[in-house]
Amino acid sequence: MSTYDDSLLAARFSALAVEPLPGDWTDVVVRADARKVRRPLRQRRRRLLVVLALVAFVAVVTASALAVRAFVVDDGFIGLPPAGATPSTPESGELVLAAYGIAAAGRTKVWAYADGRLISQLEGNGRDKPNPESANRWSSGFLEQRLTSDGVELLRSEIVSTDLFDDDKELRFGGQACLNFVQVRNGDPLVRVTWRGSQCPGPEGTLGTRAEGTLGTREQAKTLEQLVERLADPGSWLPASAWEDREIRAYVPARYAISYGAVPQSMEASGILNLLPAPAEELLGAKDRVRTEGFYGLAGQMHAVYGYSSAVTTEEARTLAETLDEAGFKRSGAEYALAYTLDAPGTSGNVIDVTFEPMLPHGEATCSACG
Amino acid sequence: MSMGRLDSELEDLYRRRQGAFQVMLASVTGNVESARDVVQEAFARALQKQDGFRGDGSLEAWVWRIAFRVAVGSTGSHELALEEVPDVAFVDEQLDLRLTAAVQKLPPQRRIAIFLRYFADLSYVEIGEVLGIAEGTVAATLSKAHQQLSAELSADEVIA
Repeated sequence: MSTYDDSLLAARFSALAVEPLPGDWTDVVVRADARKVRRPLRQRRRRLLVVLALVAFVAVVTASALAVRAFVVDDGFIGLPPAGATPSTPESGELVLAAYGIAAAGRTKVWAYADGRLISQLEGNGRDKPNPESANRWSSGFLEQRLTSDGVELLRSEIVSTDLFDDDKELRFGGQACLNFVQVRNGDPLVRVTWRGSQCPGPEGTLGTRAEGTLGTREQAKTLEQLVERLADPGSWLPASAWEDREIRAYVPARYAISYGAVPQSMEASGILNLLPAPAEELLGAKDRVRTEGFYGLAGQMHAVYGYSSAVTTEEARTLAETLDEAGFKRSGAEYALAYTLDAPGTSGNVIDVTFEPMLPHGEATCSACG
Repeated sequence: MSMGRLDSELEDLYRRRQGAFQVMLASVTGNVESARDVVQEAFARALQKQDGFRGDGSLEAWVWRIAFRVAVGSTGSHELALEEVPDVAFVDEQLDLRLTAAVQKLPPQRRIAIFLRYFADLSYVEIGEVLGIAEGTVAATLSKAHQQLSAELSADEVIA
């Protein structure tokens, strides 16, 4: 800057600054409390410790393993794939390992299958995409790569070689996120090691109870952190021969899990379906559904809630979304998943939410917005 | 009422910085009264949604992003989208017409970056976190803004 230096410009700006009015922190707290009452759903998404997390379904095998991917989606997406996108094949797969933890890059979820598929979902920091193929700055969406069978075994061995996976374990450590786990096929069935932060509320979601599990050692915590880091970025250490196709593409599901429920007061499925537009009620009402359970509320004030989840085809999910859009349902949480909300009529602040989550090859859906 | 782990940090931030928030946000809303309301609402949202703060940037930058979204009336995303970066202007432009005219010629991103620098007193890192751009981009943006303002202001002024 040739003539104006930083301090001179700052002084000129300062002369134009308004005189601020007195602050009032009490007013801020009162506003926050008022919002808490009238925005229960958002509160749930941001504050909730446990929300209807993993929902299991029986997957139906319909797609051929020899199917050709006619319409490949290059980048991750949130919600539904572009119309006509070819689903990942085969539709079902045998899970070999899964990880859910915090890596340096952020929350990481990884699933690897015996057929070589490596599916991942990475959370961004809101400033930069987790990787170039990501859907947005907050979430990669679901991404897919292909490993060779040797590559899958290398990943599996990486986990098993830690000697922590001889049997299921529940561990707790200081300074950890409230839910992390790695599961791996080490015999039959899968062996799962779960670890939680000691500061996290207990299984009832109430303060005063502690996270379940044995107090882990510092060495165990370090081992699990390093493991998650490596599983989050296998491209950095797996040999080239481990990859059948390391190019990152979107994972296009053949089916979606439609989860629906009411908060803060749970409602029976029939009561919720009655509030949906007729085509949506008819579609979901005809599907098998499983009841999901979780906790709702602020730490120290949580109570049990339940909801429902049904599996639909991607095209049925598209029809359902169009129906809800036309009916004026509000979209919410668009950074992470396709979701809708509706104020439940005749109730005091009760909100219905309907969430669309891609179903993974092993027949589960994760909760993308749960972090 | 106790609400979460960041209550005390947010309260401390508010007590230290709510004045700077008002000064900056008045350049978005047009007057200090509405700016104060935005600040109150932004901190209320931050209190309510504090689990949305992931801790990978500064708490203040996170609150700034909420505040801008409140100021522009956006409700869709919890993060400030690039297209939501608000336009800014001096509340009383008559006080310095030359500077006002020079600032108005800045592209929007340079303008808000320089307002964040001088009205909000944010570091390059914090400006980057607020605007969702890299620190180096902030430096480049401010450098270009300085050059442009210098060219505009020194054309008819002699500054020692």
